[in-house]
Amino acid sequence: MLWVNRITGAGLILLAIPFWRMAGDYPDMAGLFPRTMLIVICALAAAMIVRSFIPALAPANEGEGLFTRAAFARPLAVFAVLLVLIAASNLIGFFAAMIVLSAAMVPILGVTKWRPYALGCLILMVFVYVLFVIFLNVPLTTLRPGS
Amino acid sequence: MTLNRRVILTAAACFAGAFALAGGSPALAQYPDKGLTLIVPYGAGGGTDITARLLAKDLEGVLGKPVTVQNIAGGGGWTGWGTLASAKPDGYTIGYLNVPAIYAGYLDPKLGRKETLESFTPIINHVIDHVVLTVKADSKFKTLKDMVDEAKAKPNTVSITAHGVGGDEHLAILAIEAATGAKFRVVQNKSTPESKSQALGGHVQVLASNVSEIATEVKAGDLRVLGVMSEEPSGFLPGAPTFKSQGFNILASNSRGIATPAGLPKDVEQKLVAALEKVILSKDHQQKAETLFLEPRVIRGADYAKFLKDNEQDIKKLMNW
Amino acid sequence: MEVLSVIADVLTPAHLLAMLAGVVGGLCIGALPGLTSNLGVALLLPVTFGMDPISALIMLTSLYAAAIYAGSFPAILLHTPGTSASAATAIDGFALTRKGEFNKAIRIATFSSVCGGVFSALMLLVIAPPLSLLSLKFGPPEYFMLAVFGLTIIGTLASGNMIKGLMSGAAGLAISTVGLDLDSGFPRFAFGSTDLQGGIGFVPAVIGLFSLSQALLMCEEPHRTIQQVKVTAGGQWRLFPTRDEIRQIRATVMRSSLIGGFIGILPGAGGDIGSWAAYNEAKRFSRNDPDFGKGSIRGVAASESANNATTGSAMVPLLTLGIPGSPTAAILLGALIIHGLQPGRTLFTVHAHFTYTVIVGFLLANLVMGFIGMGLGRYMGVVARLPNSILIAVVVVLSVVGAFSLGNNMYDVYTMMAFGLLGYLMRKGNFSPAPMVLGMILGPMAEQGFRQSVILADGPVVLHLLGSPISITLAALSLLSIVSAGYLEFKRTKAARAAG
Repeated sequence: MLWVNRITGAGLILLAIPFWRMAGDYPDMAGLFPRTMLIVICALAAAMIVRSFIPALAPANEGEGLFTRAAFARPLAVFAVLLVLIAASNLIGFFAAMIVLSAAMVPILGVTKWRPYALGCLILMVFVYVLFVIFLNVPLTTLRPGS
Repeated sequence: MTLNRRVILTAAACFAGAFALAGGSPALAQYPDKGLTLIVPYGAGGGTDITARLLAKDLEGVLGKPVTVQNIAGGGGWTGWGTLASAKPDGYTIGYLNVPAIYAGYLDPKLGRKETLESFTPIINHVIDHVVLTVKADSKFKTLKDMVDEAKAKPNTVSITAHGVGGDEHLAILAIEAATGAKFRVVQNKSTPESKSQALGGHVQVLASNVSEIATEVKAGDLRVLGVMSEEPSGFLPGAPTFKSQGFNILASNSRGIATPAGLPKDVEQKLVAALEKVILSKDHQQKAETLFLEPRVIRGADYAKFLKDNEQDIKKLMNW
Repeated sequence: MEVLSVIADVLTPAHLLAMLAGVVGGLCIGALPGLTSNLGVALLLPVTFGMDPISALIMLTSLYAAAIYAGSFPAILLHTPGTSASAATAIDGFALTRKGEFNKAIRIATFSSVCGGVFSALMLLVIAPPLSLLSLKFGPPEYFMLAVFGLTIIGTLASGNMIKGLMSGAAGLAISTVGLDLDSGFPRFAFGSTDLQGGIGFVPAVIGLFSLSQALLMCEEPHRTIQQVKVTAGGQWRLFPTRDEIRQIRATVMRSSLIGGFIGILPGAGGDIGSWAAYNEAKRFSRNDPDFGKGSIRGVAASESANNATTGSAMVPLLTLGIPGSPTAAILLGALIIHGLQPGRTLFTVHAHFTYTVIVGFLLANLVMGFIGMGLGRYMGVVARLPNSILIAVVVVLSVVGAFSLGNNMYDVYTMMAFGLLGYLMRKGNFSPAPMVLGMILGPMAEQGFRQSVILADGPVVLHLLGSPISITLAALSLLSIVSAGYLEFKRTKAARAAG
């Protein structure tokens, strides 16, 4: 996991450069606070990289969850599907998007007991419709064709 | 019980709205044949939102159709105005325009919105809230002249609050500086309550705000008015001097009115203007607005368009945009 | 006599009904991520137009208290804070749920919320006018120092992995600068987008960092349940905490209520800062508690008693000066004015009956909300035993809807999603999201306080920043906080090296 720290640190320092230059255009003191923060981030990133090369100081791997390839695949797949569906919700409507999402999660998550899962999703959709659309007047339904 | 009825009515209105949308629009029936949406470009519970909800309730009574307030917040108001500008100009989507908050978005070249005033059909102005300068009761400034003199004699020493660059208070301060040659230390805050607490705590010398925001403190004697930036003395601040009465011919205010997307059919526009005018001029509505210390000020159709244009010119000059 | 008439008035059916409606409404609003107490109060406001002022204000304040309390339910159950003020509760509360002690966490959260709420109501009842003067003493230098003190919390939060914690906090501070600069009106890091000019929404970011990231983590093991062990003996439902539990959290609740009560009276600092500050102090005082941060009831008690303590105290400057202590209190100000009541001293003299009836009603509402909450909590534990696959769908959909309903725009949804992915990756890489949230809250306060101080300073800025006893005290506290965090970290690494 040490290489993750190194890449993250280097990435953050590289990322800070364009932001630093942007902040140079800001009038008066508007650039001061962002630039201070960028320095702090770069200093910490450098410290993180240095530390990863000193075995005695290197922290143990304590990240949450599992660290197998399969463990990463599922969350990222769910996120990708969600992103596509949110972008598409202007075309197909919010509720349709969410129904497609819950269907798409069946193969991704490998849901076997689909009956309770489907029931859970149905209750959720009805709940969201009644509470948000009817009672709270959130215009979720405007996210659909023809309006 | 009120709660239940209200909820049921809203629910019914939503269903009605949903069906009206689903059924496609029937060939130009009598306007309005379905509910209206009133876009508020700020979050729920703010000043514009509270006035909007008052208006929506009374407008329902006149039109006989539900009027639903929809808060579309973000981008300094422009997320809501953008939505309004791109809605269908059929009179079923109306929204609040806030002057001068709306100008910065497209006049300031750094911000660069595509939409301009031309993207809207101005319908009617609803309320106006003048800018007023106040000081803590024990301040050394007794009159407006005291303050201006000091700010001229010792530039950059007199501190004054504002909320937001290009906001009404900021424009008022710039106008005073331009007219008198004074120079202030402007302290920008995110909201007027913050400014108020800075003024009451003695951290800042002068509080620039709207009349509605300080009327209570002035009545209680915690704040003293230096000058109201209106033509006539304010009814909410009895006995308070105006800028004009002290020889400074400067006006500044914040106003909120109703507009639709550009390209609204003339007959619908007339109906909307008439309905809104009836609401705003009704005794009941005026009283409600007064409890909020807001002055209803009707400016109709073409006059409203001119009012908006004039304000645009003023702000362009003051801000150098 | 006056006292009796106030109590009699509170107990009339109309007022009790209004209170009940407010509490139930608040519990629903608060328990859903994205539905904030502001939204609840704003939505209910038009409903109260036709009511008598006392009922109206009792209903709105009850909703406020109940919403802040109910934010703890999803935080404990799903690591999904219902309101951003409950983000700190999620840390220890969720850990307790995993250990099969959901009911214990809820019971502590309820007990602490009620204590915090009642404490703040008493504050309001007894010492509101003198306290309001304290809030006026806070000018730009004091706010700057308060923000600095708040930022030192990151040092304690990050203990165990100081560099990554500080990085997360600094990133939060940097993110808070996106949008129109208050002082110059210049759009910072906006890349020409109107949405970014408005800044990065704090609530969508919190929903993403805490809720969506949790859903993504649960995707790794879709067939498991949150609670992977049997309900422990301590995790059985009971209405009141045990004597032993009360002994453990007594000091924490008292300290946190004081902290929350104090933070609440300051305009611009509400439940978010209150709960983090109290959590931090609790951590400092519980250094012998090995569970802290991993399922300690003290962590839950600190955050929950503090955020509810801010509800009443946010109304102190509101009622006495007309200056709201939190965004929700700002809407309550509108409610007061609509009902023809001017905030100010007259509320405690001429309109004393009205004011005290509302305050006593608010106090009672805090108790009512506790009982209703415990009643609901009894059946909520089942969620922790549902398969993750269903919960993932629930959390994802509610996160999206919650983010959208904040301002009815898609930008907030995309913000939420970006922070969801970021939060997931951060948690995988052992970067805690909590300091980032704290940085986003305190960044604007620090920057604004500093720059206003520069504008207002007549001599050197440093002298202006340390120009009052309050700012000197806060500066000293910050220093103490940094030194103690550094010392603890030093000892910890030394111990770890000796062990390994």
